[in-house]
Amino acid sequence: MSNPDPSAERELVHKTAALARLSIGAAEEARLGAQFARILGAFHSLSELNVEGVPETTGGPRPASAAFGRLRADEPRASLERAAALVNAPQQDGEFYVVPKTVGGPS
Amino acid sequence: MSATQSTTASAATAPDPARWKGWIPVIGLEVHCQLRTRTKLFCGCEYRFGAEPNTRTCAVCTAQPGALPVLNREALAYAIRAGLALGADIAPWSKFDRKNYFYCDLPKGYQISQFDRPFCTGGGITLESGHRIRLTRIHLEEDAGKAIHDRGAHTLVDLNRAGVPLIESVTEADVRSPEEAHEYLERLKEILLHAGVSDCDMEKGSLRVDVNVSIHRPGEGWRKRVELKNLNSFRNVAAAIEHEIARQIAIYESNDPSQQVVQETRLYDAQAGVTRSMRGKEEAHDYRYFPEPDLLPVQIDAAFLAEQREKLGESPTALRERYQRELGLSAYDAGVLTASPAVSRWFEECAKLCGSPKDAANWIQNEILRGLSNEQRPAAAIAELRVTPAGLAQLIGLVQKGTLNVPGGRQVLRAMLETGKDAAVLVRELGLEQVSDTGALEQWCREALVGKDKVIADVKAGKEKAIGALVGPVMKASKGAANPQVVTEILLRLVRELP
Repeated sequence: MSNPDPSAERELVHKTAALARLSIGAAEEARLGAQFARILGAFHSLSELNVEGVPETTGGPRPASAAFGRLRADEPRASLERAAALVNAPQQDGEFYVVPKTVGGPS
Repeated sequence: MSATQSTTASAATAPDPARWKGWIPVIGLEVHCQLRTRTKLFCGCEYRFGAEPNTRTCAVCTAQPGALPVLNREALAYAIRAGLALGADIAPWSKFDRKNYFYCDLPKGYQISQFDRPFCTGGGITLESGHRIRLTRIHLEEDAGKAIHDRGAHTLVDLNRAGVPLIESVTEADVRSPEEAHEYLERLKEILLHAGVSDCDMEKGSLRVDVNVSIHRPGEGWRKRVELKNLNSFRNVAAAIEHEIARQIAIYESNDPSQQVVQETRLYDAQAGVTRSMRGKEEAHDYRYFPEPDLLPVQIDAAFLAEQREKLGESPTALRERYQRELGLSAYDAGVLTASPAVSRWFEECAKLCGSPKDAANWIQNEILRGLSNEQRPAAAIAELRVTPAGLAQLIGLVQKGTLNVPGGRQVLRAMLETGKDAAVLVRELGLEQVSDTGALEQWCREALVGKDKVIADVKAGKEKAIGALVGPVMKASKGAANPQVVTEILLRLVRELP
């Protein structure tokens, strides 16, 4: 199921890219727009399910008692060695993760 | 909500409208406060401020694929206790949500926070004037890591802080002046400290304040809202608000279309005393909140709630009232001694041991707290002193018995703070035992009277107070060890005996 409105698709891609701090060219916008439409279409198919009588897990009325999470005691566990924590970082200096300059804070 | 609905106190307590040329400020506060758990919110990493970068992380807080969060019971307990201390309603169940945003200090690409079902709603703090600042909500969330921008061409990221538990308390826009903001924050800090949920240390970033400021004309709607950040002390919060109100008024009154108040985030520059725009253009936030699928909802049952109520202890307000009612302290003394739980515990122990709350209050305020006023963290410093409450109680006892006079007591206390020795030992070592032996005193008094005909004449004429001028020299001759009351009595007797 594809989105019938290509301008709405492009708008969605544009907004998502802005939130993810990505710069997208026109060609990419069109390609990703079509992919977005297919992905969202797949999710739309969920609405075909009949969920009448199925209790909500969260957000709605009080969940069933079985749906509550377990808690952890406030007891320390060993952290990773720093070298192990940093090993898969694309760039690091032995102490820190090193990333492109991003001053200005989160959106 | 309109501005008129937001004010709950009488008009008499509201700030003077002339102060801001008839404009009315509308101020709301958002306070993030780190909880003093040993471990992070969703993993067992032990957080410590100032630890070597990236040494307190694990698969969960660095967002490795497949790692799953498990909620820290103590963090939940502290959040609930904070809510109870602030008079909030505690939800019977609550849930976490993902707040999605993209930044280098947030490894998962989302923060686990709370959206529509926070643990606490409502509550508030009543200021001295009677005006109440209402709380909208308090929710529990994880902290982000730290991005360092001032070391070279790149940004450096330390994830030690990522996942540390925070409570965020959000007020209604009930704050009407910089002074009210300052007072609210002082009260909030005091309440959270007494509830034992956080050390509220702004220096270490465990308490962080964001402010929303807008203004309006009476009877008109609120204008554009500006968010202020980078506020590292309560004094700076008040100063930034004052500046921001003035900036907005100046723009609205300039009628210059090239100047506009825009909805944006501004950083406060404490050195220059101004706020600066954080970004050129504010993009609308879209955090795309949705329920956190890795965590089930949390139930707050009656037993858990009762446990937290029991652990909460006395509120600072209740403590102040009790100090005035039961211990006979003034409102001022009670206020000083309850500003932090460390100080109030220290005071109570000392007062109990020396049997005189008033004496304990005076010595602690005048000698102990004054000495700590230069410390960065006076409340924490009292626990690290070399003098214990029992030690001060012993010293107060010596002064009460007349073994030591008050100036001598001060000298002994200074030595106690330096050496950690007992008061009784130091009194002997410093030779400060008060001299009440009339033989020795009488000799010093006779010497003090020599050549003081004017004083003698005044005293004989009925001006007994004139004798005070001679007490000092006797005290000096005794190296401070004389009992000034006995000295006065001897001097008066000797003058009367003179022909």
